[in-house]
Amino acid sequence: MGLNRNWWKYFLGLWMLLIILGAFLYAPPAKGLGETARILFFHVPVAWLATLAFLISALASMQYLRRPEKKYDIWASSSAQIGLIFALLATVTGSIWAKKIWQSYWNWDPRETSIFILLLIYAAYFALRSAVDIDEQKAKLAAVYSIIAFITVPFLVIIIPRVYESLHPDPLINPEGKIKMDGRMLQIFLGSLFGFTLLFYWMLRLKIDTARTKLVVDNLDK
Amino acid sequence: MLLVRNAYIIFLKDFHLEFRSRYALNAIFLFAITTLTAISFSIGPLRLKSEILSPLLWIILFFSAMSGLSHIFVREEEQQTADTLRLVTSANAVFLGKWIFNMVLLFSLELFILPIYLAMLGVSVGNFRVFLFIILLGSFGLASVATLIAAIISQASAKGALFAVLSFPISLPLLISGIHGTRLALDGGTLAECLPDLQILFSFSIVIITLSLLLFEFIWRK
Amino acid sequence: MSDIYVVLAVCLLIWGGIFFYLMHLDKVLKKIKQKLEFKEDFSKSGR
Repeated sequence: MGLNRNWWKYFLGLWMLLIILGAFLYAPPAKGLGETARILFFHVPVAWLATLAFLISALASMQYLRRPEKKYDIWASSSAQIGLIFALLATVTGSIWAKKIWQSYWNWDPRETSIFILLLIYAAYFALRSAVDIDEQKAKLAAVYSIIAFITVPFLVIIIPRVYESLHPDPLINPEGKIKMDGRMLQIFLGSLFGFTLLFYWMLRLKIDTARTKLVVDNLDK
Repeated sequence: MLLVRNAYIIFLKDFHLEFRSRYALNAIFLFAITTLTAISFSIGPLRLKSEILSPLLWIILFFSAMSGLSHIFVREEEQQTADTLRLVTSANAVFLGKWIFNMVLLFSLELFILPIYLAMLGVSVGNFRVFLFIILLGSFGLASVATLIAAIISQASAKGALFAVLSFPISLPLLISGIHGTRLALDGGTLAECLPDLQILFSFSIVIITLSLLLFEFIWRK
Repeated sequence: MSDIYVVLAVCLLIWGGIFFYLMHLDKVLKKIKQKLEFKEDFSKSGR
């Protein structure tokens, strides 16, 4: 191979550099929301990828119950861990922005509530994992819990907006299905989404590789 | 029909065992009484609004359930009778039996605590029938969630703390719509007004029970 | 208007941190893997 196998990592490094520059210098400020709305180039992709990560984790858990192989458990726990980091980032960035626009860091907006519950669920997931000693049992119980939690989430999506009112803007797709973004904003947003997806892929691979290596090391001692 | 008969036998066994030690019974009743007294003491002669009364009731119910409902599976593991049970009968019969037991336990708690709650806090219920209906459906769901999570945590260490942590996110749909519905009923809401909450409580409970019957096999078998 | 440059600089700094940290992790993991391969070969030949 002529190219370095890690070429895409350097590409990502440069890509995100350009996206960050573009987000602040190239994209125009959003209508009605002002300069602070630039956070959406980072907040929204991170939130989407957190959802994707939890989806991967739930699917891997189901696969584990169908066929109990170690690799599915590694997939499930690694993806959930990275999802937890991304969800935390989405929460923090959202909260900072809420302070600016709603004058309070936290006011139980439906979006805030649902992401908080997601954080709770996956924190509980890792609490469960750390409380079981036998590996097979840990994987099995965690998979079952992950599926139960996954079924619960759609209910919350129905219930929460009924009880709490939302102020959260939907900048990308509004109810009429139209894209409300300026052309240049959209370019940066899609670029950022692509960059974050690549970053997620990189982190997930690193995490899975680490878990596998750890497994080999553990077996070495025996 | 064998399933139902076996489930009934399991239920009877747990019922007799419980009346010999009264462990769960004591825990859950005393916890509810303690919490209720603490609340009543701290508010003194104050008359609370339904916005506060309804969450208070559900907090008492939820944490009382968390204090005692896990015992049913934890006991089997602690006294090492679980393996025998695994040999004797099918997983779903075990689950159904324990689920019925937990439900009976929770309902008898409510029979006992609700009059005290109404009297101590001076609650006037606007629509008593709907109020009872919501409590009944809510605890039906709560007992289902608690039984399923109890089965999971009985195989982990640090069982007590883990039980509430794992149950909370899963029972949130129940708690949110239970609190919302109870508040409406206290203010005299009609059946039609509380119907969405009742529907959510009912459908969520059914989903959890179906899920339990599908997944319990994985938790129970080693 | 200079505020925006401060935010921009902070963002770039964070990204730089993440990027080099991940690169570093990559390198460490690679080293460990190489060591493990060596060790496995060794234990096989030792037998």
